Amino acid sequence: MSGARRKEEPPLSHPQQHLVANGGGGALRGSVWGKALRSDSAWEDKDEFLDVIYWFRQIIAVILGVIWGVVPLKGFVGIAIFCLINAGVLYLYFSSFQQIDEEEYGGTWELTKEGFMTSFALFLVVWIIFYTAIHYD
Amino acid sequence: MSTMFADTVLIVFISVCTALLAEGITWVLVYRTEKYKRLKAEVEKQSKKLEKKKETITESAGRQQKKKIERQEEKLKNNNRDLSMVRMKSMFAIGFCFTALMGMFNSIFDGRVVAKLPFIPLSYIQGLSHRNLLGEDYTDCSFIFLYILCTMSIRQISVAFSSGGAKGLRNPYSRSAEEMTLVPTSNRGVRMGLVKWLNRMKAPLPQNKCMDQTDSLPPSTAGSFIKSDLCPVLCKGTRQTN
Repeated sequence: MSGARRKEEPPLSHPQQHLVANGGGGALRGSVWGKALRSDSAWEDKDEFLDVIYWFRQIIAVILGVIWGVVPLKGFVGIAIFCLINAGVLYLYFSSFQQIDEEEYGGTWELTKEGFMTSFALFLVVWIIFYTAIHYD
Repeated sequence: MSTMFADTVLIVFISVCTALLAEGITWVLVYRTEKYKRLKAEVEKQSKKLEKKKETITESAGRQQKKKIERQEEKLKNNNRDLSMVRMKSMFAIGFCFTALMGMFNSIFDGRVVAKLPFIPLSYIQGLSHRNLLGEDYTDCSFIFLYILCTMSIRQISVAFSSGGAKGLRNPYSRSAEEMTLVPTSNRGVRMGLVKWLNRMKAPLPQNKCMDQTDSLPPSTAGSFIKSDLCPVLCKGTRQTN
């Protein structure tokens, strides 16, 4: 069922995969991010998709930290809104945009947890830095 | 640039340097050794093999097949354990270095407000965020709080980079990479990591071995690392105001 929803991508032959993995690290990363930005991509390697979720979380944390620090948004409201946006955006990404089968990854909660604490710590650091720099410098 | 913001930037810089130092020490002592490379390749090969086998196994699979899978799981567990033991060396080296560094930085930044928090932390976190600071303004941030936050984020990210993606943080055989950060993990954390991994491989846990798995795992060094890293700071107590 989930396979039918996905686009079929021609698998790389083994020598090509090996070449790309060893000598073409940049090319491999490029193809992963290409897949990440295309709707309904096929993810044979589950770890690859989880990596994408992880790094997307970190990017969202940096962006929100900057915005919250500049505005500034203060208090636990800022933290709560960050958590909602972080979880919500990624949920929409993997359920609607990529249309993956959450059960293959251990459920929605596993995907929601992926990289969350690191992104939270990163968000706090960026928020504190920008808040201190702009409003207390 | 004000002194406070300069301190903020400096602490982030120190965090980045210590994260790189930790990765460097680990690379020298662990990653470049033949034993580690061999074990890692073996574990990856075995886990892929096991995953494929589990996907093809059916409800009516013979007892022999199930026993074979259990044997392979056991072998994989042993290899994971060996891999963790190889990383122990770097753990001790890192713990030792960082204890010394933390003591030094703590004395440099003692009593200094290094940043302003855009929120008032919860009361049990104020002991950390307002450590050794004068006054009752709990939006003042002490060195240790900012350092911990930076380390939690920067070191995790540097580990993710160095171990080939965030999967380096995810798999239990590189759980000790996560332990090198200040994310508090314990045996329970390692156990949950293994349980999560086995669930992901759709392996039902043998009932009688549920708890034995933790016994066979090497004791987490995260607790001792955190203690050694933070002990000079945490044991000091808060400064009393007049």
